[in-house]
Amino acid sequence: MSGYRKKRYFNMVKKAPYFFTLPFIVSFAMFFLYPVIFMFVMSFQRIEGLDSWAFVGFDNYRRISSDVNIKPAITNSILFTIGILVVNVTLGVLIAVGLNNRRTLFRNAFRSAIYLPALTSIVVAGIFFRLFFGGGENTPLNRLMTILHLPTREWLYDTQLTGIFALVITATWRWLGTNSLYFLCGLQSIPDELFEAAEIDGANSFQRFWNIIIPGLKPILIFVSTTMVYGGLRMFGESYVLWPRGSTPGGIGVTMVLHIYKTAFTSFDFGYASALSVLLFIFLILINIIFIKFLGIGKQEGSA
Amino acid sequence: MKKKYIGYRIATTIIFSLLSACALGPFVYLLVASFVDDMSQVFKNGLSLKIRMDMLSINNYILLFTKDNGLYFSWYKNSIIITLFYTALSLFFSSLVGYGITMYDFKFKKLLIVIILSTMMIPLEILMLPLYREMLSFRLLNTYTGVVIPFAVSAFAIYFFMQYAQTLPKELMDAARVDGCGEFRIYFQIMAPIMIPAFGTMAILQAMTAWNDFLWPLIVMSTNRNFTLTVGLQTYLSPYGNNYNALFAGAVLSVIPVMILFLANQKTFISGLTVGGVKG
Repeated sequence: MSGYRKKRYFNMVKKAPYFFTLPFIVSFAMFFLYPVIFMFVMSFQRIEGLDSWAFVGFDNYRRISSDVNIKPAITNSILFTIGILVVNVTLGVLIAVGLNNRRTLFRNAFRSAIYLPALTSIVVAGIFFRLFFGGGENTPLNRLMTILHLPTREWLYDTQLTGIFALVITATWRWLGTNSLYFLCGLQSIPDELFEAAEIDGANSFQRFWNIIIPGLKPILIFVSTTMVYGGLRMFGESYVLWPRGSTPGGIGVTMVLHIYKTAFTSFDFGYASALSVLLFIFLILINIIFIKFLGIGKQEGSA
Repeated sequence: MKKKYIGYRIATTIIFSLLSACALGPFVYLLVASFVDDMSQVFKNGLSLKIRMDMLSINNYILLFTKDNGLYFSWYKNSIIITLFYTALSLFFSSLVGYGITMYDFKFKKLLIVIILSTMMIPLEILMLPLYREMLSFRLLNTYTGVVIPFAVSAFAIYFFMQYAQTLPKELMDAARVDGCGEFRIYFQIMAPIMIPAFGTMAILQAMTAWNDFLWPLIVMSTNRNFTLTVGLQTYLSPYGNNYNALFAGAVLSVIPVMILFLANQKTFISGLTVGGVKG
């Protein structure tokens, strides 16, 4: 191999990076940019079957106000998001603090056990939790309620709130382990000297928690909150398996994405479903901007 | 001083045991129930699940394998093919892109990074309708390629490789250039082998993602035989009563490969998971 041989075009230092990044550029154009534009185009059409398109202006958007499923879908999605955010952040931090403490026994075994549900698919989780929240006297949750002398319920078909409760528990079962690990990792990056200094100053465990652990976890807190908000607003699978095939009764359990899915693939109303997607898309972009503005996400990454 | 910790230890051990029981309970329940023939026993006993040895049998598994001419095997096969296909493609492309962005200075580098980070923020669920139409016009509906291709160049994996490439020795590149080595040969023969640990971590994460993926294969695959495990199993859940015999056995078998992968690579799993979050 001689150093003087002329290099092929794509092998030149100046040109090579464009070839290295080409797969992303192509994929971004084909499977992101084009679909986004196409989604906007579809939202202004009435689409019947696969080929019959008619431009209808803002008709699809006007229909949204008279859609009975919109209100439950939005409230469910938002309450679910708040629910998993609160549960995963508080429990996640507490579990991580416990697992990080050298005085806790069997730390590795507990860590693995708590993480294990993260390996399953939503369908496997759904098979169990559909039973767990079932209405019979002997289903797991109702048995527990009887033991505690509380009223039993048909959890999945009772009220909108019990539906959200079921969704939060099902999602938390799978997500809590991962979130705890994130927090654990964050705790391990807090320098030991801080804790030693606190001990010398005689800080009690609550003071240490508020003044060292919480500020030290700030980047992870932001990260987990972001993933929970996005995870919550995009949630589909949990609803789809708890109320099989999206057969949500009277708005219990329906979410924004499930509603879009049903509109498109059950009612075959692609134009209207696209209009709903556009709204959700704009909503997510707004949240994105809020996160970047107020929490400073992306700043560190941008400089990387 | 020592005595002070005993209370703490007892309390935390109890709390963590309870949490572990909540985490592991569903697995135990599914596993035990998958060996119970008479499903009315499972429902009658509910939480206490009083199982006698004579109730146990492997009939559910036999049912699962023989049902509909071994349909379950097709799902298993499809899941394996899609997982391997997706993992291979995404590792190949994402590592190229991640490496290229970190190791070179070029005109649109900053812009590209911003685009990659923002696509990570927009979930696929938003784009499912136009992507479905696109797959329809490419005639890729109901095919493995249709499931894999749109997400094969994963922004998350690219971000991971970008981070990892920062640890690579740039001097090696210059040395190789002096020897007349082309940029792609530098990558494939020198740098990619150094990145093997990163490939390992990402392979595990991407394989798990593909194996458990639900929404996109649900949209793309339309015939029974082409379903993946998640999509197929879900068809046994129905609004009008469920086929729990097949569901339990099918769920248990579908979890096993991921379990084995996890137990064999626990450290890699946990270190890989935390890369995305902690560095940011």
